[in-house]
Amino acid sequence: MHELYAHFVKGEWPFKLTLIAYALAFLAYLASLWAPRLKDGKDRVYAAARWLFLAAWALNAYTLIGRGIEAGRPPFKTFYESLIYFGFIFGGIMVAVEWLKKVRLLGFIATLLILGALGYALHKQDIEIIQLPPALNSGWFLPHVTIYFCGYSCVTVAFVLGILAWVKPGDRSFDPGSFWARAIGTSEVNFEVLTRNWVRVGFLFLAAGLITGGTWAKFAWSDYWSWDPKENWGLITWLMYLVVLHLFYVPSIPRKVAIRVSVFTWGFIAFTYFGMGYLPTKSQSMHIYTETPPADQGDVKGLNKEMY
Amino acid sequence: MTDATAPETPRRDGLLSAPLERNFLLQALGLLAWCLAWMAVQTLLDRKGATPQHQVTVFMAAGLAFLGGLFLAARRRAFDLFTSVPFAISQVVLLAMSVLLGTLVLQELKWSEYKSLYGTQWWGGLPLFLVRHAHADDVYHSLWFYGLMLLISLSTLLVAWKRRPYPLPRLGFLLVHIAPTLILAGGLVGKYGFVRAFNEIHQGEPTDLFWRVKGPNPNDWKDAYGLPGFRLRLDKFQIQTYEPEYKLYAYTEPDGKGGFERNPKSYEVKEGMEERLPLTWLRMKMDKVIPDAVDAGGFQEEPKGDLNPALKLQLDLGNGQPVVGYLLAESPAAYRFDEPGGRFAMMVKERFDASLAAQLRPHGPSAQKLAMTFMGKTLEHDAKPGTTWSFPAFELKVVKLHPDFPFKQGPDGPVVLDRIPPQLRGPWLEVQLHRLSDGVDAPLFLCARTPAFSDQANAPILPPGMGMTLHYLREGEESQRRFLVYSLDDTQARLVEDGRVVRAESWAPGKLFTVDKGLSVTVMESLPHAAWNPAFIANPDTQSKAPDPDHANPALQVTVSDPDTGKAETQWLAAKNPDGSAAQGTTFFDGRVGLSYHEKDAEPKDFRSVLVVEDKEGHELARKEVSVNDPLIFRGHWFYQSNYDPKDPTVSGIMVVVEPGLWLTYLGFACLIFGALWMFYLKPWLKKRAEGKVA
Ligand code: HEM
Repeated sequence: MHELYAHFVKGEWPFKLTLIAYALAFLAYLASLWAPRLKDGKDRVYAAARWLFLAAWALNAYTLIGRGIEAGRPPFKTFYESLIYFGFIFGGIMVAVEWLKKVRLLGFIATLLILGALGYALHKQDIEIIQLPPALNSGWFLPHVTIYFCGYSCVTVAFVLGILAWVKPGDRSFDPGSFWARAIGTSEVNFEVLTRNWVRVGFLFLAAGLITGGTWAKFAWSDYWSWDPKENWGLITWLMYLVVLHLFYVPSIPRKVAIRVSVFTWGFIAFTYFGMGYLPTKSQSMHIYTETPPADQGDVKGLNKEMY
Repeated sequence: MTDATAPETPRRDGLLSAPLERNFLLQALGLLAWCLAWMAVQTLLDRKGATPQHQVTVFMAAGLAFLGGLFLAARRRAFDLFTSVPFAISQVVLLAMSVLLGTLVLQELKWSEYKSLYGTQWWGGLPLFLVRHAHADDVYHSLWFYGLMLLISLSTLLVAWKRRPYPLPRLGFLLVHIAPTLILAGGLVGKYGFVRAFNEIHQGEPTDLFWRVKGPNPNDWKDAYGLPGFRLRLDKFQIQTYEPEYKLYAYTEPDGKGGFERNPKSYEVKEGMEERLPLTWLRMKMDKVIPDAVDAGGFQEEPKGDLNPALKLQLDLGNGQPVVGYLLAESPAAYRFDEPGGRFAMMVKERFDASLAAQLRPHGPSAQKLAMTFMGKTLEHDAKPGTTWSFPAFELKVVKLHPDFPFKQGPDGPVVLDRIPPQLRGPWLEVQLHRLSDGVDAPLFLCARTPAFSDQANAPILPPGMGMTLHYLREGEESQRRFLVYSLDDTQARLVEDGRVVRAESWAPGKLFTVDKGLSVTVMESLPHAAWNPAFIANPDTQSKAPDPDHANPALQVTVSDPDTGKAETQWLAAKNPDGSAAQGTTFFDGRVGLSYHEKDAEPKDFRSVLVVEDKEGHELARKEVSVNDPLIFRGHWFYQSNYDPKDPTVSGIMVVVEPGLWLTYLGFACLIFGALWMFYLKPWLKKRAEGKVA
């Protein structure tokens, strides 16, 4: 806790404000799930939650763009920056879904996940805006990362929907006054179909991410594929979602099994993003996010050595 | 979109009674057997010493023959199995797990490295076993991994065949399921015609010769690759750097072990800036900034400091311009000073003894080496006459050591040694280069004192395009014959000539020692606990000129103060050490705060080479400024900026890659994306439209 506080104190202001705004939006969504409608029939708490979510997302965009301008490059070189970018893309998709479909449950879960990601970003905060090494200084950097993050975001939505489909399988019609009807803003729903649709979008983005990554690598390192651990995990994740898609076609396999596998498969995405540092082969990878500016690390050592 | 999914009434099968095309357990066992068979085949081929290319050929022939036989023997059942979705799932899961395996076991190490890595842990037996028997040291190029890909390719082709005919809405399915085969076929074609070769290109020296490399590391080179019918010329090479930016980093969280947590706060440096340091009540003020500073400080006696004996000495050369400086007994870099005229050297030592005296006489080197630099790496070998080294295109042989300038005949008559400039005197090494292509021998002479001179003379003889240089190194040589040694334990100053003490006097501050007429040394001060006391001033050399950002050494004076007690500490922080390396940080308030001032990041921004492709007559065929992400592509040859020589800006490391299957792979990528889009979105839309028309 003290460590998070220390990081918060040193953080940059736009980022801190984003974090606070998402936290407020999260609390508002939480309240809106249970708060009764007012007498005039208006759902003020929910309206506030939606506006707060939009505002938080706008701050997120401001943080991201401001950093991009200050750095003079796409702002997702480091882990910290990439998490802010994830908040921006995932948040953008969810804000759109929220405003179009009015599913407060998704808004609630989305703000919770983004808070998790940005809380982690706080922990991974950069000391410094660092420059790009020549190989990253490519026109493929922006589309590749953007497409990948769209993919991550879509399969994350599918993950959430998958859990809902696990809990409430099949075609559902909820009592209009019930918790569920309010939480999802409608009474007729099939979470399984929704899960599958979002897996398909995510699968396409992941495929496009692999291909743009390969193209970039072909121009930068002369090989579109070099069996690098990070690339491999991208491939593993994609293959596992391919399995999920095929599972829906097997008559002898119940639909709920396919749904459960899809939920577990999200773990591969999470590992690809967060887990690379734990791989025994991490030293053989060139694509792992930078966490602390290398120039600085050297000097901290110097400082420490001096005092022993 | 529910229409495409399976009916909701699943057929339930028993674990073993289910038919093969729906039986995951049997399928897994079958796939495992398939992989085991390929492991055995590869072990066999490895023992026979088959090359990777040869192995792939055997693999394709044997694999296709086996699968062909299978289909001949049991056509219906094999077809049902290979076109079943459960079998597809088994294959893809196994493939994913195989890719995963290669991210857990380190790839492409040597057996001895695996043994030292895994051998000592109790679970290490498993990776070692897999490396030994399952080729887990190179999963992605193992035959069993290829075997899985072959199955996937075959299955997808068969399912694409089975689902004929293809009316428009179903075209996506066809595209998606031929895509894997296209992608893999691209890779397979690439296996045969692939070239990756490297060379260091010198400005203005066109070459068509490149050296094949195994991996992306240009140092493991093998044999030559000649460009077909054209050659490559470097017109210009350039390194672009970011403008250096210096920042102040404040560490305010001591880690309890004498250091700090690794998350400092960074500050822009501005004179007069004042702020509270995060997580403390201490205040920091930037008192003074000097954009390019030199340290005009000196050593001072610090009685409470560490023991660091030093003498402040004044050297009188008889020209009225005495030199004053410090010698530190315990610093290997600063205990000796050679008089600029070369007449003697002075030293400060803790004590003087016979073994020290024995070293203080001229003596030859303890080792003589021939250093060969090429393709960006340097090899050092003992320079023993008669030794020979073989290279793919030539041989090198050490012929003779020459004690002095080796040429007897100059351009204007016989050489008179005394007229040769001193930097070309001294020992030389004679080496012979034997070219294998035409059997010609050429002599090379390497000057130990001035390697740059012989580099230039030898460049036309050395093989072109390898960036090759040869140097003659002599280590541990002493050329001085007279020393003045101040020893601290007995306060004696001794004059040593050729290893013998010729005169000894006691020394004390203010006392003078005459070495020669007009050549004397005076001890000015003795400092047992010498501590450097910095005093930065603007660099007088650069004050009038525009500052050179690459060589400037900015300095910053900071005061940290405690508002509660009113105490304050002021210190200077320079960004660089005198040798140009990044300086270390300083602590304030007994280690509560650490400040460090240095360059933010010193990454180069880009490397750029202007490359020209020309035919053998020198006519220009193509030209491009290549950079790290932007190769020159000419007739299937991709030329990459891949390396550079920090010491020679007229050289650029260029990699050439030829990958014939690339278009097939990309065709496969396109089929995959368009096919999936088609299946997911176009097909339902087409269907809906067709139904709309019917209704
Ligand atoms: C290994 C053998 C394979 C078999 C037997 C197989 C079979 C099938 C079948 C029967 C379908 C259902 C199509 C329909 O009824 O509309 C399908 C869907 C699909 N297959 Fe495969 N497939 C295989 C491998 C692959 C591979 C390697 C890929 C990846 C490139 C792939 C990509 C797809 C996609 C994207 C779908 C659509 C999924 C969806 O609609 O959600 N398949 N496959």
